[in-house]
Amino acid sequence: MSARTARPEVAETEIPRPPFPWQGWIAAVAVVGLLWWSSMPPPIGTGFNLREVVEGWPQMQVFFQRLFPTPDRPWPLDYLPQIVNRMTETLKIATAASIFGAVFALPFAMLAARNLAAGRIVYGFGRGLLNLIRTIPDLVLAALLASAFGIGPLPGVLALTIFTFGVVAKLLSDTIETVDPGPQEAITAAGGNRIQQALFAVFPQVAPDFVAYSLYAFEVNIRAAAFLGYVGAGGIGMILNRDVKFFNYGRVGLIITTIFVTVLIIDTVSTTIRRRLV
Amino acid sequence: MSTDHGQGLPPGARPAYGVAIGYAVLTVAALAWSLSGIEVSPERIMRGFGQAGHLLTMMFLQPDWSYVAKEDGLLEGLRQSVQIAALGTAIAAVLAIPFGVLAARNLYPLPIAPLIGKQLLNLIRTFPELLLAIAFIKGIGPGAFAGVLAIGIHSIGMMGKLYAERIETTDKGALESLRAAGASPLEVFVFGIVPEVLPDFLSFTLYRFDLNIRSATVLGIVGAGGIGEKLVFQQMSSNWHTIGVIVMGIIVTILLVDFISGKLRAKLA
Repeated sequence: MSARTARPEVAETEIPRPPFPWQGWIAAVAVVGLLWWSSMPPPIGTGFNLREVVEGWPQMQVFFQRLFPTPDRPWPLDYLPQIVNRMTETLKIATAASIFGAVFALPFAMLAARNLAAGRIVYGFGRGLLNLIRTIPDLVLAALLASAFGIGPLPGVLALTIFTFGVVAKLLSDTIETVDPGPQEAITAAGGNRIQQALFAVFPQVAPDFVAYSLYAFEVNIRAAAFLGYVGAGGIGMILNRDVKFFNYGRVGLIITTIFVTVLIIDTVSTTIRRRLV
Repeated sequence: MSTDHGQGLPPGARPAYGVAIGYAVLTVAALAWSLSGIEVSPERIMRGFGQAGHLLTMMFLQPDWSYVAKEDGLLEGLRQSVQIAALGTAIAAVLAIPFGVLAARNLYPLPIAPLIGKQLLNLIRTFPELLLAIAFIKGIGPGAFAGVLAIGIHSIGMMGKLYAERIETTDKGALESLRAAGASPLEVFVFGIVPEVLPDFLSFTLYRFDLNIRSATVLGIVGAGGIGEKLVFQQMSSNWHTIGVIVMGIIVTILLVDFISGKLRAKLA
């Protein structure tokens, strides 16, 4: 994350910046203009206004209440095995994609790092490809692959593999560029080639980061995998889509709860491991 | 590989082969489990790649450029996605402030409120955005409106956390001198914290806008407006020449927003 955690020490004599420079006013006007344009009625904007949110609120409340069981409207627990089945498929898709994506990302990240890339052309090409891959949203990719490979979990695995590859390779190549050059120089001095540098000087330094980035991608993949079914790419999204369409509120409530609890557990475990690693 | 590898080095510098082997075994086991039940055959993959090549040709070599400016076409969809992201981000930027204040440890003598605040933000962040979108669609009907609310509520989770962490790193000296001069807690906040954190809050908002543009292109898949809705619609009728234009439009928009937001953030830092 790009958030700064500490501010650099400012010398006492430094002249403070004006609190609100003239560029600030231009930016403020631009932002207000953008929001005003965005909330215009439909042919021009989205028609978003707070009154409609307030007016729609009771309806939303009814929807949320129906999701949860009451004594006379219990959750359809006989549906649970099917949900668990589909959720398992979602987990499998995310797991396979995270592993494949991370494994492909490792060598590629080395090619796309300035201190390891074989020349500027390889470096530029690698970086360009990674930037391009990361602009394609995961579900859009899944929709396209479902048309090519046929519906089912396979296009889901492929789409999330490509997504994982993009994210892990980008983050890892950034990290590789910041490693201590000492070991690499030592191997070069001893006559080691670029592959030996990568294996014995760079990889040991970035291994914990590599695992952490892969786990992070896995967290994102679980969320995406839960909705792959909307575009025909397998997992729990398929039954969610169907039950939402047919207004099966009890089932929808059960599915939403299952997804949320699963995501919460995986996030908690994964974040704890990541914190220990880095 | 020689067996005396790492001898004579301090313990931390010795390669941890045991750990590495453990990770490898775990990974292979997870992979074997995850691939069980997925129907894959070499010919399905080959056929898929052939089909993908065919689709990519239609999408990118023969794109239907007339879709760009068409009524209800590409520009219309992209406009909606940008507007959804802008409104959603603005809502979150404002609503995240009270959450950030609640969760900042240095504002309270006891860490009770921050603990509750941090857990609350965690829950909001964890709840999948698309589930929120589905809920809002059912509550107030499909369309851009539901997308704005989904992005607005979901983004509070991350922005509130960033706000709180930023407030926690404010310069202690300035706060203490304000307190020593007899400022009330509110005055300490307004004059000690706000001027210092404001540029970073704006920077977080721009960063979140970056992420939300991506979300706003996907939300349409569940029916919450934007270009994603057009994509799904075109896919149903297999208009691949049009889909190519949509995908290119999404890529260009995201690159453009990334570029502008990056430049502005560099200015703020």
